[in-house]
Amino acid sequence: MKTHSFYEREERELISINITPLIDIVFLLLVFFMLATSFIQKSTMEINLSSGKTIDIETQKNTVILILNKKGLIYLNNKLINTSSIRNEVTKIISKNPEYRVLIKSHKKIAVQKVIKLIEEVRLAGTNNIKLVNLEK
Amino acid sequence: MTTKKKIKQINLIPLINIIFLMLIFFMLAGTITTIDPYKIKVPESIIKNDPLTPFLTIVVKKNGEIFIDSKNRKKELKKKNYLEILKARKPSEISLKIDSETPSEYFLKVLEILENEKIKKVVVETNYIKK
Repeated sequence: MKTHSFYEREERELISINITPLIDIVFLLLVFFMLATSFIQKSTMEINLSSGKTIDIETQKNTVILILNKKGLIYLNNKLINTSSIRNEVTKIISKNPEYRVLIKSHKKIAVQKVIKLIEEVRLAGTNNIKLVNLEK
Repeated sequence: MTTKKKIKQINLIPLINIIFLMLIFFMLAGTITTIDPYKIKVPESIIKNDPLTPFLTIVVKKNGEIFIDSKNRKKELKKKNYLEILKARKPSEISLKIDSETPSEYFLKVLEILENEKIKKVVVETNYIKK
């Protein structure tokens, strides 16, 4: 009986696998993926370069002028406007005449983020006919 | 004696399970990113477009320094240099990687140059944020 129990114990010990190296490798992989991966979703925004090189007096009639001044205030056709209402206002104007062009005049010191935000709002209003120029004030 | 030995052993199986789950999550949900040598924080956008793999990337830093591709990392390009590169490579589309805090005058200056060089497509790299 004694010998039998001894063999049984030995058999059990042999079956167990040392999983420590596996855990080490999995830990290393986990650390690698945690450090190397990013959850930021990259996107792109196309800029229309051919939306009117020169803006003469004739075409300015069909132009919506958006001014972004140094303080970050936005003016739509010389009228102060909130960022949230740009989309609706531009949509109203464009729905009357789809050939309207949007001229964005931004102060040269204003951050690109604000200009991109403005372009985005105009895009969402339904037009891609945008021209960017520097505000000469 | 045997019962004491058994108590001392820690069961590692739940730990391994959790680590495996975390590993699978990071492998599937994340995307492996390359280190950005310019440390540029691109503008945020609520419009989602698929990122392109353009022929040429122009990098504009916060202070207005301009770089083309990642090869010219340490060398700032003057207008003459990048015009030469643009003329030599004649890219049909260009990706613009610009810092969100860069003054817009540099952004418009680059766009003007690209317009003069008759580049067909210019895309600005952005980070998509859910509204």
